[in-house]
Amino acid sequence: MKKIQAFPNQKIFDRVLNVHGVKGKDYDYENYNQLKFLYDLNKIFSNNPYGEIIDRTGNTNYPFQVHIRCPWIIPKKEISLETACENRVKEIIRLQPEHFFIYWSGGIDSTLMLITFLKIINYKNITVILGNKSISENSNFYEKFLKNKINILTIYDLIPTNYGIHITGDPADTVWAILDNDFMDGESAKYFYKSYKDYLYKKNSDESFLEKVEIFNTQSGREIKTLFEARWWFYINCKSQSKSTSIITRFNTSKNFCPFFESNDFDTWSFYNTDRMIVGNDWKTYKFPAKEIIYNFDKNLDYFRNKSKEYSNEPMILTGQKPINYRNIPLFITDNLERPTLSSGFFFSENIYRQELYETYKDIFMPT
Amino acid sequence: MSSKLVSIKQIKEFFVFEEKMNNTIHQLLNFYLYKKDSKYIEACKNFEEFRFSVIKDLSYYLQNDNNRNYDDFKASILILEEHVNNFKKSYDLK
Repeated sequence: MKKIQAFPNQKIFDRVLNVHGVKGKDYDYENYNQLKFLYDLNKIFSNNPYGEIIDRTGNTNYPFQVHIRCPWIIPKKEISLETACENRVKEIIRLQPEHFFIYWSGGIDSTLMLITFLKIINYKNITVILGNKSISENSNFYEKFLKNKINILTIYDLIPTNYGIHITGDPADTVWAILDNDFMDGESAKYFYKSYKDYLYKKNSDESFLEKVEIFNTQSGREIKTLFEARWWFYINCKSQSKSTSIITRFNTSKNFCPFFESNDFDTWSFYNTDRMIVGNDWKTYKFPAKEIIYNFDKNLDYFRNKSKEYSNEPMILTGQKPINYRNIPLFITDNLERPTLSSGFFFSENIYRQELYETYKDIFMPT
Repeated sequence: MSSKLVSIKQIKEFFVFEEKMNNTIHQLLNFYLYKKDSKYIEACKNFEEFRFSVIKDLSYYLQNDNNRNYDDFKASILILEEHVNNFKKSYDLK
């Protein structure tokens, strides 16, 4: 039976659910309370929740058959970040050993990903896809290791998405608890290393909500005490799949995409290293273990000392907007990468949906 | 869902949205003139294509769906507006 792995537009997807007899919207569906709970928790961590909530522990019921790409497995043995990276490259080689298109933004995560490939794969089998901002963000790396040394395509070139394997730096942020300015500068900053319960109680004083959070946190397999740790667990468990699939909502072809940081090895590294992700609340120390590995490769002391998080996803954003054709945005994406759309585009009607798609997909949804 | 059908009168809601799309194109052209950055011309081309698709889809919807539901129509316009807003955000347009 087919399953759903992504639904890029929540409002549209709610209407698909409604046609299949599922009542409700915005994760508040009749008889699916755990899902509503996860959405409420998401709203505490973010002013504007974005992206699908997929509980990788498998402990949440959905009103449709859900495909979990990388189920959460409680780690048993520590692994170094460098080994996790190398294992992932070896895994990707087994998937597609011919040509590797690597989306490089110049940021810490995509640079860590790129250097791992450069260490293991012959340069002639790599094409780096970059934008102007990638170069300005890490110009030293570009001049020293990429310019005139390796195949390069810019985001304005025609990118052969039907060939080779296309590797993005997703879902790296979830490995690092997705720290952002709102979290670091807002009221939550005071609770960063304090009990998550104090902060959550301020946001939602319903005791049964807090009990649910405690149960949810035990599913991680480790102790969750601070707000930082609670945030880490929510995002790595519930949001990493939506980050991993974000590229397939932007490309017509999607069989050959590969989110680099989606693996149980990265889950494991992250699980054992939440205390090493940032020192205090100093942005410049964020992702420090990744910067160490990069420094050992490029010897760029300035990047090592001063580089901090930027929203550096230009290659992804601009590639995705060529063209901004909203018809390419599917109603949902199945595990075998079917991407149904309606012939009436965004003018969604129950009647047209029933004529075109209802019979094909009715078994995915509950109730039918 | 209400069984109310889309009327010609309600299509005017679409034209309000259409005007917003036109404004976006003018903003992009102004940005190009002001900043001389070709990304705005590229964006303008993409957006024009988007606008054309929306109009084409609306006409398909009106011609082929005999049970046109006003709530469906209204919800579609809201989603399209959200799409335009996201597009504008990605080019720093207010």
